[in-house]
Amino acid sequence: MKKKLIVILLSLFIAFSVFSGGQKDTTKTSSTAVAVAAPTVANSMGITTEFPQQLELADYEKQTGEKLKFNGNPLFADKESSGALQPVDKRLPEEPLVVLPYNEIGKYGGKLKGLSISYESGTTEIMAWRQANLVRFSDDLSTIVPNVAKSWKWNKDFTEITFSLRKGHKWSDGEPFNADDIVFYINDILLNKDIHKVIPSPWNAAVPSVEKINDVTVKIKFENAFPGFLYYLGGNGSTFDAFAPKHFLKKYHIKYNPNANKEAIAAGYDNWVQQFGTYWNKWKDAIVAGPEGVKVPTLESHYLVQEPTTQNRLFIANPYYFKVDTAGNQLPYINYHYERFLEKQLWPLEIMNGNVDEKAQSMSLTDFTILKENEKKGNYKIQLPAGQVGPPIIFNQTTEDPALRKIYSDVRFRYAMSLAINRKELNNALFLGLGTPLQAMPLNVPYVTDSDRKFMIDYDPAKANELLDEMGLKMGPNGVRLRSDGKELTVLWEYTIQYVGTPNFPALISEYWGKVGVKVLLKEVNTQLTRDKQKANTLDITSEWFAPYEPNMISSPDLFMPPYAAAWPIMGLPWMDWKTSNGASGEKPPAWVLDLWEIGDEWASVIPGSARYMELGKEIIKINKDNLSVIGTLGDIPLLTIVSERLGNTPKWKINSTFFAYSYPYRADQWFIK
Amino acid sequence: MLELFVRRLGTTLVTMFLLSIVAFILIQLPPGDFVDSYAGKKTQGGVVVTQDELDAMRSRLGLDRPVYQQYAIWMGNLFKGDMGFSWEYHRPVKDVIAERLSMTLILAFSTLIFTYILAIIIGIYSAVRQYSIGDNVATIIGYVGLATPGFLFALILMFLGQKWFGVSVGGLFSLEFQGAPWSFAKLMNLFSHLWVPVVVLGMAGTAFQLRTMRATLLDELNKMYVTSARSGGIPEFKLLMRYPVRMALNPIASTLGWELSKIVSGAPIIGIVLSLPTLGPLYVNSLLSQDMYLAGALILIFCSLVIIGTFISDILLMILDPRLRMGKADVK
Repeated sequence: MKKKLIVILLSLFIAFSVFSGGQKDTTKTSSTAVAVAAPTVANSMGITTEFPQQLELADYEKQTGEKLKFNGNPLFADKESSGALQPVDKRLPEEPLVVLPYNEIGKYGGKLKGLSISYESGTTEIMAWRQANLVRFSDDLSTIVPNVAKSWKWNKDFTEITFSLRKGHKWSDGEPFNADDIVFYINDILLNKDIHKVIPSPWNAAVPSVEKINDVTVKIKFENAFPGFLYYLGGNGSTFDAFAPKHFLKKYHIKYNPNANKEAIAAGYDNWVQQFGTYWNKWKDAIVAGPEGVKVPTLESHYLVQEPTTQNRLFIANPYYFKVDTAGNQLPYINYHYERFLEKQLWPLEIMNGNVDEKAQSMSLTDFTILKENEKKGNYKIQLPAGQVGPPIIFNQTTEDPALRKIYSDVRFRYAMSLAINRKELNNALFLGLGTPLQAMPLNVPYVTDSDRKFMIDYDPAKANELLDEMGLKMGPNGVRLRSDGKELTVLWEYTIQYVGTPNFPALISEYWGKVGVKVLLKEVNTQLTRDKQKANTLDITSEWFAPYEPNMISSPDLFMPPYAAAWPIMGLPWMDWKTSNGASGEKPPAWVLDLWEIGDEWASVIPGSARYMELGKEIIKINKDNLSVIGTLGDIPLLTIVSERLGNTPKWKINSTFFAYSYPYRADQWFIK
Repeated sequence: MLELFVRRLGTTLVTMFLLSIVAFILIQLPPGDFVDSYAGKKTQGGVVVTQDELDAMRSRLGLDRPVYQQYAIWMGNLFKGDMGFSWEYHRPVKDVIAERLSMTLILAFSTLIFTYILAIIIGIYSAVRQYSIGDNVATIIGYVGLATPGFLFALILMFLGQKWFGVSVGGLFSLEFQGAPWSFAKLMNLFSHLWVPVVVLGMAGTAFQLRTMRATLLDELNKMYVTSARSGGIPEFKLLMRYPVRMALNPIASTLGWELSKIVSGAPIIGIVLSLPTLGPLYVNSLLSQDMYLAGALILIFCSLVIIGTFISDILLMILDPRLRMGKADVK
């Protein structure tokens, strides 16, 4: 009897397993967008635009000579007929932005599937799909184009900017979005002393104030000129907003609700700031990383529709999104964004299974071959836009050991170390030969020349030996050069995988340096420790530095002058002390550092493209190049970018980098599922 | 019997209290804290975090207090049923764990059932048909099963599943069923994914139990009472089930506790390799990001499962084996 039961159970189990094995993804797309011949990027049908690939409704209607009729996503049909949602022409702003799709008018429906590692880790790419900020970068990665803001106007010296907003623009909860939301952001969040003890970078350098002209016009004033403002908003600042939903947040804010503190404590928070922080965060993705995220209205193309789980997040199309295509269909086309949190090692499998529609952030180049082989099976195409750089090497010229300090701060030593690296071999061994040997230079700016990029990158151990001999570092008996105090020249390289990518990188480099008589001791540590050591000035080499992919570098000049970073010093701590204490403590830096700092002060207020801009830019590059404080290895390394063949209206990625918020310039709101 | 039960329960509780201290110390051990790893993650994404922001966060989370105070607060809340707040997931630890607990238990108990059914049936067969082809095959598979590390086996199965069936990894459901309400199709889909972790997790245990069953049954089969029963004319199958198999089940029952704890402790590794929506990967992630209340609660849950497993197996043995029961009764 018992045996029978067991056998039945077992066979049921096996039967279930076999019977239900290997089910395929059967997500279907509904398609009722009006697919007619309409202007696209591929065929503009004579439509001309002031900004690439988009124009304002009035301009478009003037050119076509017809009034554009709007259509909505059938996803909202039920809510419309029940009266929960107004019809589409009432939901759109009076002046929606008209977008030229890349190839064709898309279809509504479907689910865009992506992967990230965990909450707030590798999620920027998914956020980029739904992004909406005041302005954004066009896919040429140099033109700033209108987005939430209809237009803007700078004053002559870049201290005042006036934004025009779209009349009738609404938040995802249907409440109006207007100038108050920008005023609220600047006055009550950015400048609020309880929320921000100091004004966050880069606003702090400019010191903003704000004035509402009327509901759709707002003027932001800066104490210091801030020409990089729009580049910041469209580029590496695009993951933050420059507005906030006042109607929703004011009940948590002490200024608008005197009981906010009491209510916050009653709700289990320490104070109102903490409660406010669950509904507003400088980094937008942090808001939708908690269950409260479903309540927070947004202007983005999709909003969080259910509480996030530890496995995934689901976003649904925003019925109030402010863009239409050239046939009058409200964007976005795609109904859902589906983000899964998955172990990075499993990504290639899921990609090969065809379960991922677009993926690039944090992908390893080493997966290239296997993914390429399976393109057909997984129904995707691989693109290889530039997006990463090889780890740079920065010697600590202010290290405590006097003998080492003398060596590290001798520019001949840094030249020799650069010449001793076999970049071609490094490229082939670690980056499948897909990178380009380059110095650490900004990759997308007009004032960097080819000879800057190729400075001292040729593999020339003979020349390196010559330079080291010239420095008086005699070769010792063990094939290791001797320092001035007679000890062997040994460099301790404490590295973290986060910045060198793989232990093979420092291993190869130390082999190259060993050949010219510089001994390297390698030690893997965690990022936290390297930062502590950087702060204590006890690290010999760092690699924590990012070469910016920026069109003008104007919003991140910190990267090119000591201490080479904003958060914690990369190199030159005593110099920094000297600067902040006005010479009372620390050490006076060498002349070239003082020169760089002086340029840096002017740089933030210089106008991109002007003669002065070119002049100063060239100077920054020249000083950095001549001193070679940051030794570059490889540049222009592609970021493996997977684009599903299911997707329509996807372009060719030019650059895929966090500096441009990944796919943000490539307009995911007009992608669709074929 | 009752006294024994109470005494066992007492030691179980004391062990759990000691464990909570160990758990708390363990999660404090790695250098840095949640704030550090939070800052690290942010910087990786190119976001600048200032020292002021970090200090503010630290004091908000109570990380600037001494360790014993942090423990006292944690313990106090635990008794109130509050396991603390998961900083990484922005909600109470209880909710985070609840989301994954059911899948974890389904997996653990499916594995247990799989292990015992397979081990007992094949074990009996192997013993009765000793040195037959079937026995030899079972023996070989058993040894391979014992010797192969679970994670390697998981990788192999995952590769084969991907290559031939297109089974999606990273969960117990296909994409279209994730988040869908329960239905027959969803149940089927669960079974189509569940077999991989069940086989991987249960493999070593099955092999071990199979060998135990075979060995003990072989011992029993040669005993006089079997021969005498057979000479009495009892049909072979009935005889087998009624006497020697029942005796041979004894060691198997007594190891139930170990088996549960083995499955529980093996689950995180397999869970990570297969990216299952169970507590294992959550546990490792919480350690990596130093989300310490979540980590602490998970360590406690894992340890409790082991202790409870041992407790159950003690009780089972007392019920199954009259000698044990009697012996203890005499002590009383």
